[in-house]
Amino acid sequence: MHIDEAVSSVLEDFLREWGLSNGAYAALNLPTPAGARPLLAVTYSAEWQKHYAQSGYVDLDPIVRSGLGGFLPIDWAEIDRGDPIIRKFFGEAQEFDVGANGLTIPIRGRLGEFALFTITSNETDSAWRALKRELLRDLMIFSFNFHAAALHSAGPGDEAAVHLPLREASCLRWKALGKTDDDIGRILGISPHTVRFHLESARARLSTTNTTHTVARALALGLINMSYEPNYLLTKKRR
Amino acid sequence: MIKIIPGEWRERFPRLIDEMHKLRRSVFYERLRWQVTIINRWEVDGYDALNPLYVLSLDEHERVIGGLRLPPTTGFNMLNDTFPQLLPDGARIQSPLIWESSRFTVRMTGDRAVDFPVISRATAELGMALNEIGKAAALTHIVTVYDAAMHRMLRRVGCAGEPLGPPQMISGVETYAVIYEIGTRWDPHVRGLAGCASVPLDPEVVVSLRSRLGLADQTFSTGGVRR
Repeated sequence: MHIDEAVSSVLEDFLREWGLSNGAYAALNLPTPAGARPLLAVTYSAEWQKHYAQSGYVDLDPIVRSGLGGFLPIDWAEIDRGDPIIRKFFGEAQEFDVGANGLTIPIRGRLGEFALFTITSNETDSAWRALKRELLRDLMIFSFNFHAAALHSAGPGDEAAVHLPLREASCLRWKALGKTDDDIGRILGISPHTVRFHLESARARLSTTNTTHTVARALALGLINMSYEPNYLLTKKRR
Repeated sequence: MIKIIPGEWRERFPRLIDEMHKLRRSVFYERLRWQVTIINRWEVDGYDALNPLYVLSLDEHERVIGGLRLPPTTGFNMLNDTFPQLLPDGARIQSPLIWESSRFTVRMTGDRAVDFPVISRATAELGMALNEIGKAAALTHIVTVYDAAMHRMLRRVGCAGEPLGPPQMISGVETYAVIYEIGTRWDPHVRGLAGCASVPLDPEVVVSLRSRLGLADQTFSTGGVRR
């Protein structure tokens, strides 16, 4: 089952922004009536997709096998190519211009679903290593946000209205008022480390990309407002 | 020395995995008398089945003297699914940039004079390893749940986390949810306890982890470890 065009166009924007060759997303074990069928978004050529399906490669694809077992990012360069079948697989992928280097982020969801989010690049090996380090955090954020959007578009209907815990709302509101993490920590009687923890948790909750984006969305959704702060959150650290 | 084993690789390291589960049994079941499940002399639970990342501290004879496991917070984990009463406002904490540490253990004999140096070193080493893994995997924080006794013990070693809120009584045990921010510079005290400036990591897993996590070459030292 292929996902919404609106969602998959976001994938193309991300690839363009980072100068990447291809992107591929697949979610399995979804809690929907159609859950038996994977949810897909791929930019590989139609020829490669057809060849992949006809050759039954999903059963031997080492990225799929490794990605469904663990949750660490997988650099394709680490895959053992000792087996001639695996070598043939990567060789053919190259012929179909999948991309010389690849990085796959495994995703584990709270509904018991699994997903894999892959990007590929035709950069030289040294440029690829540098790029990988630079983009890893953005890629993790993007892949999870993409997964959330894809699930939503497929409609497993799990997500009710977003609820922001008070501490997160409070940190966001002070951010909106221009306070630094240290200021907010002092105001709320918590450490700046904990302020950043709440900001990151809120960011993930709202599927945004950074704190400014999170503040803007929280305001737009009416989850925070500028005029009200529960008094008890302003008290100093409880002892 | 630190050894990192992704759960899906457990068959490649049967002795270490066996020692870790038995250490967990002796600590959580025999000493602390927690209500944990013992299967074939192992303390093991459903979160192990989800292939977390195991981080083990080994002594000079390569025996497991401490360890912990890291699942991501986006899937099932202890804070969200076992101890939700510790969540601020009851809202799940789930971010790709926040992982959970659980089942933190260090081998103990009960003799404080013997235990303290072992606990200090293993704890400091594990703490520094968490920080390095977090940096390599682009994380912002690690969240963990532990009891008040552990909090006091870690505070003595300089490795206590920051409580997310006041502790709660869970099954008669005072329990905290705490966070660690990644990228924190460990003070010289902790590095002194670990006996090294950077984390000594088993060379066998270095190559694979470097590529898996995009580790910078200098992140983990494999030689020249001061003991």
